[in-house]
Amino acid sequence: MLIIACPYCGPRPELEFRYGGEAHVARPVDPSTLSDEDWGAFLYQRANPRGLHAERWRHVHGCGRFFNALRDTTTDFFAATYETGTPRPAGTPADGETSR
Amino acid sequence: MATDQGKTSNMNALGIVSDALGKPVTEIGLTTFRQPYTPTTFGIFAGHSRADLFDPVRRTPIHGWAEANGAVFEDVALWKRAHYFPQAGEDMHAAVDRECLAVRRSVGIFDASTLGKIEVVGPDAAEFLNRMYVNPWSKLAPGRLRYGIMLREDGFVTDDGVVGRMADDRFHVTTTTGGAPRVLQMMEDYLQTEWPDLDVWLTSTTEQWAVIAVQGPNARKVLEPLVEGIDLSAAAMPHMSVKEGRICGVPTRLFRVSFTGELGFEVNVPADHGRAVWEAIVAAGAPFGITPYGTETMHVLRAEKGYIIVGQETDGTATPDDVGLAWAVGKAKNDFVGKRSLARASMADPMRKQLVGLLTHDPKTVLEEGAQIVVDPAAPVPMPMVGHVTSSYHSAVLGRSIALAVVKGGRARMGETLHVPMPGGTIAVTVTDPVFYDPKGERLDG
Amino acid sequence: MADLSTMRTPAIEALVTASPASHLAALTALPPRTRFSFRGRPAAVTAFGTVLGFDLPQVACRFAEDGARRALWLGPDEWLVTLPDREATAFAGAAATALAGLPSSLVDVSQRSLALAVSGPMAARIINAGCPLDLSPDAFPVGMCTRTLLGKAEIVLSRTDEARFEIDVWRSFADYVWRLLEEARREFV
Repeated sequence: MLIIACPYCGPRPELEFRYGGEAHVARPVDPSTLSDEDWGAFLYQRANPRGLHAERWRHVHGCGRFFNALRDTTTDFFAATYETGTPRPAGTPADGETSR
Repeated sequence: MATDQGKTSNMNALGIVSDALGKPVTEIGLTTFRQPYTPTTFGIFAGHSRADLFDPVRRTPIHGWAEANGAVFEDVALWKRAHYFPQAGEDMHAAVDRECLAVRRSVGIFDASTLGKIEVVGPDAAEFLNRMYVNPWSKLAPGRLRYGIMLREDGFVTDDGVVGRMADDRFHVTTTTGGAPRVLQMMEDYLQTEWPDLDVWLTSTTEQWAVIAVQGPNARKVLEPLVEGIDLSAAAMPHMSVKEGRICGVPTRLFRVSFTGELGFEVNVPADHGRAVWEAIVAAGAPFGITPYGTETMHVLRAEKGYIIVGQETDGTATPDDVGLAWAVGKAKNDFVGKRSLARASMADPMRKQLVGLLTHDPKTVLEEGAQIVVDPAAPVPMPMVGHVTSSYHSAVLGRSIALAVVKGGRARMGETLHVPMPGGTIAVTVTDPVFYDPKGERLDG
Repeated sequence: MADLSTMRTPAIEALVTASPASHLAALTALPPRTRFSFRGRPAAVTAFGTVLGFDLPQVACRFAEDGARRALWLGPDEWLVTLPDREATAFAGAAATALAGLPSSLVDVSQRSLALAVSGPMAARIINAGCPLDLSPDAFPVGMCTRTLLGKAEIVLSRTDEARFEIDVWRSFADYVWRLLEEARREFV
C-alpha cells in the first residue's frame, strides 16, 4: 500500500486517491485558435517518461482536492507533492531522470 | 500469471520446456518470483468482501414499498431499481404492456430517486455551467428547466440531464444514475485546476432528495390536491418549469418535466419523507387507477418518443448531432468543454452513424439490441456493416415493435429498407424518424 | 390531507434492533440531525462563523463544536456543519442574511446521510476492519475528522472521545457500513 502525502491532509493510504494524468498541461485559453494537430496534441499526447514524472492526483476520498506530485515511474517513489497552481519544486531532477 | 503468480504454471511450463530442450528442469532456470511466497487462501484476498458484503447494495427510500408490491428488481450500477411490477399471472412482457398503457391513458408513478443530483451554487454558477455543458444557461430564468448535455473535450457525449435554475446563483443539476460520480469528478477537475477563480461550489445531493415521477394525462389531477403553495395549472406551470412549496406538509421542489412524452411531474422531497409521500400519491391516484411502473416501462415510453439514453444510444463516440441533439448546442457560446473538437472536419461527415428509428417489416418481430445492420444481405462475408440497434422494444400503444439505431448517414436514408442479419434469418427494416408516437409533442400538455 | 412532515423512514431500523449489545464495542445509530454543507471564500467563512457562534476550524481535519453545534473541516474551503433539527430554520435564515453578497454555497444535506457511533475499548479495531487509517490516539486524536473509506463506502469519520468515533455515511451505503462493522464486532460480542 502506497502512502501518499496529501498537501492538505498529510500522509494517507493510496486507496483514498485517484490518479489524474500528467501535470502542468494547461487547457488552451482560446481553443478556437488551435490547429487540429495542436488540439489533438493537447488531448492525447503526453510525455510518458521513464523516471520522474510530474503528475496530478486527487484526494477523492479525503479532502477532495487535486494536487501535483513528482513520482518516479520506475520505483513508485514520490519525490514531492505540491498544491495545484504552484510551480514544480526547485532542485528536483527533471522529468525522465531518476530520483535516486 | 493471476493469483498463483506462476507457482503452478511455472512448474508445468518448466516441465514442457525440459521435454522440448531435452534438458533436466534444474538446468533451465526459473522465472522471477513474486509474492505470495507461501500458499495463501483466497479468503485472505477476499477479506470481508464476501456474500452480502461483496458490494454495497444501494436501495432508494421507496424500495420497501416496491418490494411489498411485488416488484422485480434489476441492478443499475450498485443500485436495485424496480424493473417491473408483475400482477398475478403476468410475465415481464404482459406487465410492461399494461404499465405502458396505464401511463399513456391515465397516470403512472415511478421511482427516479437514483438520478444523480448536484447543487451548483455561487455568483458564477451560470458561467460555470456555460463552460461545462453545450447549452447556454445565462438567460434561463429562475423557475425554469433545461435539458443539458455534457461532452468530454474530445467532443463526445458523456452525460445528460435536466437542470433547474432555483435562483440566480443556484442550480439543481441532474445526471444519469451511473454518471453522477463521473460528472462531479469532471466538474471538480475543471473548477479546481483550470478555473479556480470562479466563485461557484458543487455539492452532491443525490441522496438528499427522493424523486417521484408522476406521468400521464391525469398527473396534475392526482397532485393538485396534495400540494400547498404551488399553482400547478398549465398557465402557471408550463412544461420545463420548477416550483418550491409543500406536498402533504413536506417541502418539495416540484419539476414539471416528462421523460414519457405525457403530461408529467417529478416530485423531489427530502429522502426521509420519500416513502410516505409516495404512498400518499398512490392513495390520491387510486380513483385514476394510478399504476406503479418500473425501469423497463420507463425505457419503452422514452423510446417511443425518440429520447436517448446516454450509454444506450451513445457509446462514448457520439456527438450531439449524431444523436439528433444539435439543437441543444448554444450557437453564440464562445467556448465550452468539447466545442473545439466538434469543429473537426470528421465530426461533420454526413456518413457518421446517426440516430434513426427502425420499423421491422413484420411488426411482431422485436430486434435484438446490439444487432448489426447491413444494406445488402446478399453481399459476400465479411459484409460492410452500416450501424447497430441501440434500443428495441414491443410498443403496446402502437401495437408493434419499435427500435432505435445508429446508422451511417442515417438521416438521409428515411424510408429505405435495410437488413439485420441474425442466426435465425435476416430481418428487413424500414428507416424512420426516431419519434414514433405523438411527433408534435401535443400530449405533453395532457 | 395528511401532514407527513413528521413521518420519517429510517434506512436501517431493522438492522439496528437486531444488533446484540457489547461493552467492548458498541454500535449505535444516532438520531436525525440537521446538516449543511458550507463552502466559500474567506469573507463568507468569517460571516458564517458569526452566525454559527464560533469560528469554522481552519486546521485541516479538525472539528470545532459549541453545545450541540459542530463544524467539521472536510477540505480547505469545505465544512460539514451539524446542528439540532429544531434550530435548522432559524439558522438557515440567519445564514442567508449574513452571506448575502458574499460568494459562498450553503446546501442542506440533512437527509443525505445517517450517523452511527462506534464506542468502547475495541472501537478503533472495529473500524480498522475496513479503514486503513492509523486510528491510534496520537495519529487520530479526539477532535480529528476526515472523509475516508470504510470497505467500499465513503464515510466521514470523527473521534469524539478516546473510545468513541462517529461515522457519517450516505443513506444508501448505511446498510453496508452497518453490516461491515457488525461483522468486525462479532469477535467481541
